[in-house]
Amino acid sequence: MVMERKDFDVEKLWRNPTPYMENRAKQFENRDWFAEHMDEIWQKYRGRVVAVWDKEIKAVGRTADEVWAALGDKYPREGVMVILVPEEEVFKVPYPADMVFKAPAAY
Amino acid sequence: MAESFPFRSLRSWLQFLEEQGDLVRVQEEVDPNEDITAFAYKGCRVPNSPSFLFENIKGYPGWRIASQTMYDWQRQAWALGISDPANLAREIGPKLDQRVPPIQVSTGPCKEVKFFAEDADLSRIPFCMTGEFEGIPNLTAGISNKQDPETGWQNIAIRRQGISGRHKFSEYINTSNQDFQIWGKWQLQGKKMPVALIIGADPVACMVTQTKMPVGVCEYELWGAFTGQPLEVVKCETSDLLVPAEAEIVIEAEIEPFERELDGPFPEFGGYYTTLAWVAKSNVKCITMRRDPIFYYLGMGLAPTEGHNIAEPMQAATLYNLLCKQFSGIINVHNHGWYHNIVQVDRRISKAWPQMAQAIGNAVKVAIPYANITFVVDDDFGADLTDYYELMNALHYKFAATKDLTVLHRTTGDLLNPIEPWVGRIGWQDYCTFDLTEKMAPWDECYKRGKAIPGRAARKKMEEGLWDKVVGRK
Repeated sequence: MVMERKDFDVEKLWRNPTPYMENRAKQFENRDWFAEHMDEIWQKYRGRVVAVWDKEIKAVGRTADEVWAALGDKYPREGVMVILVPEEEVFKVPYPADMVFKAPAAY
Repeated sequence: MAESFPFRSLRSWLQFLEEQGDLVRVQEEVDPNEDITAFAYKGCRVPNSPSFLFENIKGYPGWRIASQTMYDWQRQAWALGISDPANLAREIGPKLDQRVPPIQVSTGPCKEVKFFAEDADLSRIPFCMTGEFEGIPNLTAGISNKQDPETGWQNIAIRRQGISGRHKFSEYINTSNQDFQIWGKWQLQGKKMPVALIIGADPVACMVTQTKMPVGVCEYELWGAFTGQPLEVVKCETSDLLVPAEAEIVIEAEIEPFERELDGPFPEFGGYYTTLAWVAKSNVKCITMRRDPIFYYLGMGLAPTEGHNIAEPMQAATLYNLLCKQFSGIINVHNHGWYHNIVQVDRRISKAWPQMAQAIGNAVKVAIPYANITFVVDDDFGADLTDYYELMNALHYKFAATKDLTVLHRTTGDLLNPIEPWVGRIGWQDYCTFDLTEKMAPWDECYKRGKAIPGRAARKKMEEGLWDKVVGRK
């Protein structure tokens, strides 16, 4: 078929990831760090756009453009996590369990 | 060999679009971070924009990403084997009452390559960013399949997932959706809920997810009803969930009953970013795919987007089906941008049925709780319900707010609609019906004298060639 790409085997690429893919994985780590420190970040940076890299906030601005300008080309774009910290508090969305029975304390 | 309806895979659909001259293969390198969504955004804002197959993805050599293939009603009509897009609601509406169950086959192209446990790494898939500060990529075109643990019913719907880790993702399970009820049953049992995300399915498999079916009806049955043939499905590796055999990629995961994952902000179809929220957390168990997979990016954000347009014909068909059972004289239905509907009725009926437009508006709200505005027009409007000059004319010439506007205050809305503060529950919003039909006597006096347009014979001359002869183009 015209749409087949016989010269590509995703399994080979999967086993030999590109730097871009590795940076994506770092972006996930940056996200985890952001989530773990959400409360303190929100207190300090609410309403701002922040850039997270290697477990640190590397830049803060009012817009994404400002943040990217501050970052320059020191960090891979696909690895840095640039995110808006909303004005309003982060909250838990309702779960079905909220409505029908008392959920475990940990939840 | 030329491809034709029904299309059983994304790639046969892409090939058909290419044969129609409607697909552009993009050879320039594009970054999944924002380039693809910029193409989609621009493509929705210029006339006659094509579908795209991106063949040079930065950081993912060999991968391809398709987008915009279901953007407009014409493409959806092709996908459904319907000649005139204006007839989508009328032709698909009656088929919503038909069922053709899928058939399970032993294997399929979506099983060519399998990755389990640590190998099932989401960083290896070119998920795309939609906005400039959403932090992580989101899957916008994933058909999510979940199964009722008590009845076995499988419910499929396009949901958005935040790709938050190599082996995990977030998913907002909205309180107004059927999968919220399904998840509640799993939670009551204290069990993890299996979920399958299908990426790169054929166009009809995507479109059937946008219908509003009763509890217990699997949308796979509509695939068969729409095409006249059963959909071939295969069982997942780690659960009993069924997925289209011809899909490009399948991600199998389990939703934790009581854990949460940070989600957002995301540029949603409400036109603005959602906020940050703790939502359902899924852990990936397995990923299966074709050996040369094609990823799919469904444009989201401020309308118009492919995400909006994929919903429009199916919602119109859903309404046409329901309204025809309740009212005589329904001619056609159009949905615009998810929240707004235009219902066309026969004047002979609406002028004899006091407050028919308001009754239709109320029925629409019952059928689609997040509906925001409904315009009821009559056959004087013309056949093209997308003609916004006609809509503005109808508002100008047939609408008096004091008697023709019905407002339902503080109704159920959609929490992704930014009209109200986003407070983590189904939003509240006012719903209104605009009666743009000709009214009963004595308010029909002017209309009876006739529409202010050239005479029939003169218009016919134009249609029969005078315009083309003089102007030289249509």
